[in-house]
Amino acid sequence: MKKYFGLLISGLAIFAQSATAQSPEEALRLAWFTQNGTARNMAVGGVMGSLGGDITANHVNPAGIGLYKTRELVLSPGFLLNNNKFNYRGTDSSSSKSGFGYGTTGIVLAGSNKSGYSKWTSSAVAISVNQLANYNNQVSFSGRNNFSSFTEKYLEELTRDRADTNAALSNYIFGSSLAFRTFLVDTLSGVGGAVAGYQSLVPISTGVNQSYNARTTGGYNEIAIGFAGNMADKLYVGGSFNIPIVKYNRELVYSERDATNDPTNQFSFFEYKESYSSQGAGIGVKLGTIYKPTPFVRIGFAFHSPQFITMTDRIRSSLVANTETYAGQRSESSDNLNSGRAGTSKYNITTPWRAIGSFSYVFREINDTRLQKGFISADIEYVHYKGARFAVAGENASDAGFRNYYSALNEAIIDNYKGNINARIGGELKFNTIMFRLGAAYYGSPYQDEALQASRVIGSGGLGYRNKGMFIDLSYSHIMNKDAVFAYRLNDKPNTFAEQTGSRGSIMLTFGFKL
Amino acid sequence: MKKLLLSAFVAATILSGCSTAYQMGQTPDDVYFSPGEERETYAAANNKNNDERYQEYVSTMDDRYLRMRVGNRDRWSTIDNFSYWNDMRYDFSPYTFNHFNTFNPWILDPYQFNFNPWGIGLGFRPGIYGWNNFYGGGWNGGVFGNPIGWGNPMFSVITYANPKASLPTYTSGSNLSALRNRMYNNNNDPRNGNWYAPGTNGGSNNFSNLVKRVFSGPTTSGGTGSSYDRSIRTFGNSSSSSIPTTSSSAGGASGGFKSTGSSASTGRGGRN
Repeated sequence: MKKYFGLLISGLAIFAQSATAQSPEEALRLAWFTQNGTARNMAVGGVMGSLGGDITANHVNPAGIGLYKTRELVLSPGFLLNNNKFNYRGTDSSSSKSGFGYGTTGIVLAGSNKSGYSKWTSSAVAISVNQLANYNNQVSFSGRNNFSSFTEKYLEELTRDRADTNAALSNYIFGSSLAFRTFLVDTLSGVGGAVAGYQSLVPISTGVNQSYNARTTGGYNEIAIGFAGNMADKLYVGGSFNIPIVKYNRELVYSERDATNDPTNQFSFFEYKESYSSQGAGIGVKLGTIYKPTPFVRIGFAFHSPQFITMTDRIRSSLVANTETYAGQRSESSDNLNSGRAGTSKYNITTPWRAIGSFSYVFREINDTRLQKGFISADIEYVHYKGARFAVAGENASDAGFRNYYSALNEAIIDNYKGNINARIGGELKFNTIMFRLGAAYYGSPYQDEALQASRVIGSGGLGYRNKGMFIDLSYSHIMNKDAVFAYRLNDKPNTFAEQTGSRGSIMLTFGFKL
Repeated sequence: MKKLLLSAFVAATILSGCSTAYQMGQTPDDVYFSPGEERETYAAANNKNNDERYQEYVSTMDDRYLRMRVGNRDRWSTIDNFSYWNDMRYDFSPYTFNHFNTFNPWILDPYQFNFNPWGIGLGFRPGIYGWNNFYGGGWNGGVFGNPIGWGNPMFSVITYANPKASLPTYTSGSNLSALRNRMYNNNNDPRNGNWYAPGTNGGSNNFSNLVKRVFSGPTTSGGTGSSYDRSIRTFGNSSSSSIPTTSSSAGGASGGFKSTGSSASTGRGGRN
């Protein structure tokens, strides 16, 4: 029960990325996700830039809560079904994982200004929580590789750092040192027996079977406290304070096995396990406005400030390697080398800003619900992915090595990401108390590199019922995903990645009560 | 899971019981139209002079107060004590207990929704007009007494370091330069290892300097041995004075983690 509740709380909407430690992918986890909200919002493709009148607006365009003159309480439990497909160096594989999530849940309190002395016709306040991204997923692929090995990143690290054997033993306890201690990586003898570099025991040219399996949980949750005002039912302005709460866990198992089964080639297999968690909380602001130039028409604009989030990461890793006649089977773990403690890193991350422009046609804006026939709405959103930034924090702040690490990380973000557009469109047909909805959305690639194909395409639909002071909405969104997943990255030879396709299904149920 | 569903169901049932306001008639849909309570038009209101506004305001406040007194005589009696609400002893600091005082009727009563207890300054909150504290709704209550308002110090004391972008300095301990490598290879060479045979793949694809050929002896007497390649990386030429020699202190910040173990000074043992 506790587990389910935890998943519900921490749960939804991004696909897990692969990564080691802090990486640019982490910035992407906090930026490249699909819209999540109430079932009504999800059913219409996530449009909320100008529509308003739904609590989801508190997380998209806070001016939208200014359309309320009533009060309501909304609960949105959800469920996800991930079905991932991968092609890694010609080998197809698939993985699936389901989990709980939730959409916008909270309360809207609004009231008219009865006195009539003010320009402000009504105002509203909303307090809500939404899961911007749900990290429940499993990324799992495997394939044969006779070109590169995971262990080469250790070789690159050790030689570029010009690490001697003492450093190789002790200074990389979450990676290279584990490989060195298990003889998966060893020194390379040069002239006169001096250490000339490092070698990997993996027999690369005859090939190894590589396997990557990462189970991820957690979510990017946001508490929003929003205020909005309505001027003469014509102009709405609003803003929300946001408290992002991030929780991400990844259990990674990566292995390479000898493809030849040759007992004399001094390599049988190695398996690297990593337990990584990343948690943090921060602050941000969203501002927006909606204008009705003529009846039925709404134009909206919203700006989401970067969110400043203080993160704490923890990592534990272990390695088992069998080098046959070379050194036999050995194992080593970071716990063993670090008195049982996880490695901890504290840092700050600034998420990218985003801006939304939107248009809606609502027919009709009239009190009698029997005459309300439907709406159509479209959003276009720009996300400045390359604007994400890391900065050192806490006890590491005075350490030049860490400062340099985060500077390099920021350069990598600028180098690898770009700004891109997301587009959403959706509509509703209303028959007094029953509503039918359809929507679609497209999320563009955050990668600069054209070779990395990435996008998300969403088709969605749903039903709604509103009567006797309450409403129930149900939606299903089918999110078709395309992405590139790297198990490791190398500096001096071409990199390899798994091409991810497949889908995520998101079911959302919203109960609402007019208070 | 059953408990979760059950509690959701129970919560839904209880909450639906609460929503009595719209049990009869139509349920408003705020996306289309939100029925507010009747409001005097702005134009009409503007035609009134200030005296009229004042009179109307006082009258409204009195009505409200009297209704509350009728509802609960004891609870609201504190308001009658003018000297209490205007006592300077309770008023010298914006953080005094007074402004969060639970006896202060305008702050206590969060259910007066039409009165807008959040006071976000949209121009219709009585306190905005800056009147006296008799009703407990003056400026002080509007700013400092507002538990979630703009003026609440809760929002001003939170400071976060603003990360700065800085020039890249690739140093030991990071594998990040690999992120700048945009060459990709997603296909295996069917010829097994020909990537590494010098010259076979052309100059740019020749990785022979990144491998070492290893020959293994025959497994059986008289059999033939085999060969394979291992990945290697060698240090750059350290004879130049600008390139440092190998170091024991390399890599302490690997991957953004302080990755020097507290008990990692032991060796790794010998090979078999």
